[in-house]
Amino acid sequence: MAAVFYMEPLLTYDVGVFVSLPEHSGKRVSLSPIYTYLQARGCSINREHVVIEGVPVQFLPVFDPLTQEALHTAREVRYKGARTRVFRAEHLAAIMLATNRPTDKVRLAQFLEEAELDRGHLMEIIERHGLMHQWLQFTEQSGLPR
Amino acid sequence: MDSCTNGSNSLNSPACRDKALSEMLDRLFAAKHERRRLLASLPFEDKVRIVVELQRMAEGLRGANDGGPSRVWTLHD
Repeated sequence: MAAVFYMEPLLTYDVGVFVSLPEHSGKRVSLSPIYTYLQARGCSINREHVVIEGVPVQFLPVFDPLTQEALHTAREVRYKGARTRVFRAEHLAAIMLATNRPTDKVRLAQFLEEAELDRGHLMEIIERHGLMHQWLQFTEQSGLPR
Repeated sequence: MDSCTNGSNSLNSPACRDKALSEMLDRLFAAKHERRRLLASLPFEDKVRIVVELQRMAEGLRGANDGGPSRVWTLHD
């Protein structure tokens, strides 16, 4: 859904929320406290989603330095008066590149065409997170400029 | 002077037809690109409304015999 913030609206059914979970030594990372908290406030659980006000929300723990950086540098925006945070366009593009699924490649091509992003900053992120090989492969396959 | 713009040649020769078609496609793709950029620049609230509209349309296409629960968001204004 964050991609929609920067590009034309597209069909999607859920909202992904990245979270940074506190570390407990020896314990597995668990989203249970979030689920329990929201269930107590009337939200229902549907498979891996929590349905909040009619919208399925999937909580995802930050899982690598790239998503961690994206979370820490996310920009603050307002939606209907409420404060929220959205990953920056450059990080979203890098994450699509890193996940490397066919759907993400298609979306990345569209994203690069439509979203206003800082190409220099994107290249810095790509280099910093060791994604140059994927980037070169992607630009070669998609025909987009490097 | 371009021979294809000359009335006697226009659209009668395959080369002129190809050129006209190519120009028309360029215009259509440019308009499509422009519309995408316009949609991309809409306020986020408007985009969310469009996403819900797309969900309704997709639900309609899935048809009544799908049997599954509705996946259309129920947003409150």
